[in-house]
Order: sequence, then C-alpha cells, then structure tokens
Amino acid sequence: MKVWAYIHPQLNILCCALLPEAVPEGVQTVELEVASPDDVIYDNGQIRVKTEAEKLAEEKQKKLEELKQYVASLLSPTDYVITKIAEAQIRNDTAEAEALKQKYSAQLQQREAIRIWNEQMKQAIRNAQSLEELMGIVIEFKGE
Amino acid sequence: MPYTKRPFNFTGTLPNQILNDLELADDNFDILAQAFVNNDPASEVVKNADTVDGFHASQTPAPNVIVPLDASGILDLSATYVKSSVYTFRRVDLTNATSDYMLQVGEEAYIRFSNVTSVPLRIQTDVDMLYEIILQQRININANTVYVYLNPNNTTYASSFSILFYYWNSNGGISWAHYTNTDNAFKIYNQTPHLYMILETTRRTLKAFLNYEAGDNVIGFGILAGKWHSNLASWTSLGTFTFPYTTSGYILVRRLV
Repeated sequence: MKVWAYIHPQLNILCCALLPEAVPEGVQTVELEVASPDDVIYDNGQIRVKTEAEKLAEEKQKKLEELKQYVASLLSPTDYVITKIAEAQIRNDTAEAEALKQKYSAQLQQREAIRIWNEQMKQAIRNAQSLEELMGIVIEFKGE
Repeated sequence: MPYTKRPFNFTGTLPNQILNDLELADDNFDILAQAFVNNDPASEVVKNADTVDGFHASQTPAPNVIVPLDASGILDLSATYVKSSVYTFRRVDLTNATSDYMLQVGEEAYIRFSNVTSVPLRIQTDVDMLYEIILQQRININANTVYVYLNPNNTTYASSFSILFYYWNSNGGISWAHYTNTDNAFKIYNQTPHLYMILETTRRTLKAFLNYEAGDNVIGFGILAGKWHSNLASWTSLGTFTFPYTTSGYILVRRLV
C-alpha cells in the first residue's frame, strides 16, 4: 500500500497517512510503498522503511512474547499441583510430597511436555531465517 | 353507465324530455353514491380517502405506507407513537464516497468492499459521538501475527494507542492474543476477524467482540479493548480499516449519539 509519511507538526511523532488528504496542510511528506504502515520508522532524523533484518528481529520478539503468554495459559490450570507439592516439601513431609507426585503424575507429565515443547518452539523462532518462515510457525500445543 | 356532467337541458319542446333527464339524474346519483362506503352517502365516509397518490397512511410502517407526523408536526418513530418494531435506521451507502459524510444520529453507513487492503470509512466525526461498527469479511485465511487496524483520521500516530485481545478457540486454546501501550493505530486483531464494535470519540476508546476461523474448521472467539491515549490531535475523520491481506466484505457504521 502507498503511505505518505511525515512528522506531525504539533505532536512531533511519526505519522503515516493512508490518504493524501489526511496529511495536515503545509507538511512535507515522504511517499512510500509498504506492506504495512508499521514498516515505516523515524531513525536518526530520517523517515525510512525498516530493513528485512529489522522486521525479522521485531517479529521474532513478538512471536516469543506470544509463545510466553500461551505457555503461561497452558501451565496455569495445573499450578495448584506444584503449590501442593511445594507446601508438603516446606513442611519436610517427604512422604506427603511423594504421595502428591504419584497422585498428580499425569499433570506433572503434561507440564513437562509443555516445557519441552516450549523450548523447541523458542528455538524454532530464534532459528527462523525469513519472515515467511517465522509466520509459518503456529503456536499451538497439541501434546496430551 | 357513464357519469353525465350537467345532464339537464330542458327546452320544453322534446317529447319525454323530463323522463329522460330524470333517468340521467338517477344515473348520476347512483355513480356519486358509489364513491361512499357501502355506496351510501349517509355513511359520510368516502371510499379510498386514506390514500394520497395511491399510498395508504398508517402508524404501522410498512412498504408503500405513509407514516403521519405527530401532533407536534414531528415524524416521531419512537415506540410510543409508531406501533412498530421495524428497523428505523436510515441507511446511507458510502461504498463509493470520495469525501467525508457527517453521519447523523439514527443513520447507518453501509460500505461494501471487494479485493482491497484498505477501506476508508469516509465518515466525518467530532467529540462526543458514539458508533456501532460491524465488520464482516467474506474470506477465511490463517493470518497469524499480522493485524487488522482502524486508523483514526486515516493516518497512523506513532506509539499513541493501547490495545488488548484475549481469545478462546475450538481447539481448547485460551490466551492473550496481544497487548501493548505503544501501537500506531487501533489494532483490531489478527486472523480474519468478523467483529462488532462500540467506539466513542470523547475518551477515544473502543470495545469489541469477534469471531475468526483461522483458515480451517476452527472457530475462535475474541474480545478486545483499545484506547487512543493521546488527545492532542483532533479526531475529525472516523478512519480507515487496513488489512494485511486482500479481502472483501462489508462494514456497517451506526451513529448512536
């Protein structure tokens, strides 16, 4: 899409008009062809399009944050198991702690599988060589 | 039996003239009587008197029906006057608009789009206005980590928007989809959202719920809230929707306040 990038005269921030008439009167613009207005940055007093490397690094950070939130949502329903075991250990009640580990072994195995999957996903995201490869990584845990 | 205008032409010379003239008079009375309900002038109700140019009048709106003004001379479409639940928003087609239109309270803008990546709403706005917005897309693709935006004033403003999304999907997934205080426009979700939104221009906030399909048989449900946290630039044009893919569909914008 075509955008008209400019520094807003009152706000002193970068803006990208999507229509030429959206540019405030008397303001100088830089006309750019971009995939998204988010691809435009104001860098060292210059308006320019992000490089592919900059976009990839930024998208990797977003993807890692998305993964972190997702894994937290997978683990939180069984956090109570960890709390119970930790409480037994604090009381030095080894027998109770072992009994709880046995009782909740399925949940503990599931948490371990989530953590292993999380590490694999983080590595896959960090190793992505292109935006296309990165976008192809779907954050969805399918383990039992 | 034709109506005869001024039937009497008495000269006193024609045979049976009185009888003929009286018969013409009877015929005319019959014709005139037929203009009344039950063909009876004593009813004092003229047939078809409730139509104007063939249209009936009624307080129940229907196709080709005239709704009367109220006692104050106002076209009152409130439930206490017009006994109807028919949809009373007036639709304005802004599909091919080239300049901004000031949508009035009770008007609904309809904007259809086809194979585009951005849709200017072409709606003039100001402070203290409230809108309902419905976005319906015709496509279903997997569009992960790329987003639909609503750009107030048809432009971006660097790091001036806060947004959060949360989702549930039919795979059992529940999570944050996104949150930030530094977006450049109202971010309106990833994937291909079909959404219902309330947007107001004083506090510059929006809230919405939506569904998406993620390119396959999955159905997802999302909620979002957003805020334009800078109020230094006047909000004069409702904005432009931008999409990270080519899409088709329609947008309805209703002004409520």
